[in-house]
Amino acid sequence: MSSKQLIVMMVPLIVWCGIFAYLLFIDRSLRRLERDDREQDQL
Amino acid sequence: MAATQTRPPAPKMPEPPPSRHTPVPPLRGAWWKWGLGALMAYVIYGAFFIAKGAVNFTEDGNTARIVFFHVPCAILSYVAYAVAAVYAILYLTRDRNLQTDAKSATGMELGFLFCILATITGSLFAGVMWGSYWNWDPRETSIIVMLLLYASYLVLRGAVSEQPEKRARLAAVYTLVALIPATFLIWVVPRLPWLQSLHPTTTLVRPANTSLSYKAVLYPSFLAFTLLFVWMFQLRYRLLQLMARKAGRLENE
Repeated sequence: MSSKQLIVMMVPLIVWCGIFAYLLFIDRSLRRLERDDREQDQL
Repeated sequence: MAATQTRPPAPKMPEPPPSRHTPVPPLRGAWWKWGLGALMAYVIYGAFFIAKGAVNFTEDGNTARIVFFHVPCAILSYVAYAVAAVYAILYLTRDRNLQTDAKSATGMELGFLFCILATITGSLFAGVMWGSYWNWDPRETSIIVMLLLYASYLVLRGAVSEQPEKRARLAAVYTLVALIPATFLIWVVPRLPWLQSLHPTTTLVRPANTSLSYKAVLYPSFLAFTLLFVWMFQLRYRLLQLMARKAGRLENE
């Protein structure tokens, strides 16, 4: 495992971790909004 | 003289709210999203440390490693179009339901995104491999026209955003009409025998030319990108539904 390759690999890996965390955040936010929306319907 | 009885008009009932999003049956819950996170991390690791350097490529074969990201994006850009076309057909032939239109629009938006990603990754490969980021190769020309097809769709939807029914009808017809050049550009033009192309073609057409170490990363990469597409499709569609419900509620108030 060369250190150069490791450094280059870290770039897409960190980018992917960022995208993944962002998608999870959007997913949770949407779920919360859907729950609020459902509660508003029931009122 | 017989009196004609006229029934009083029925009170107008408020339209029921659109049903909420129901995920694709095998993909319920969050387990597959965490699985996708791990799978994509494996693909990124494997692209550098499992796959060996490919022959006939510059930089000791390292340039070929982009195949794990470029090819799934390129294929998904067409798959997304096909998904959009299926929903466009369903919209026109079956229900004229705005939710079906929203699914078709979601497919086109994601297709545009993956098309941009395929263009960028392809251009990076061309820059390192052939010394120029753009060569007007048949595939490069095809993908530019595909980008224009997608962009035109989004412009069309934006132009009639005030009339949802009309927008849905026009968008569905456009999707189906543009499916013909899209199919021709992606599947026919690059394979015309008299068009000389710099683009490598043996990765998928002749799997025997692809080593086992490449297959061990490339096939999981297809799965990872497909799951990513499904997840993004769900998120975008759920958002569109919420926006539609909110707009409907504001109208009722």
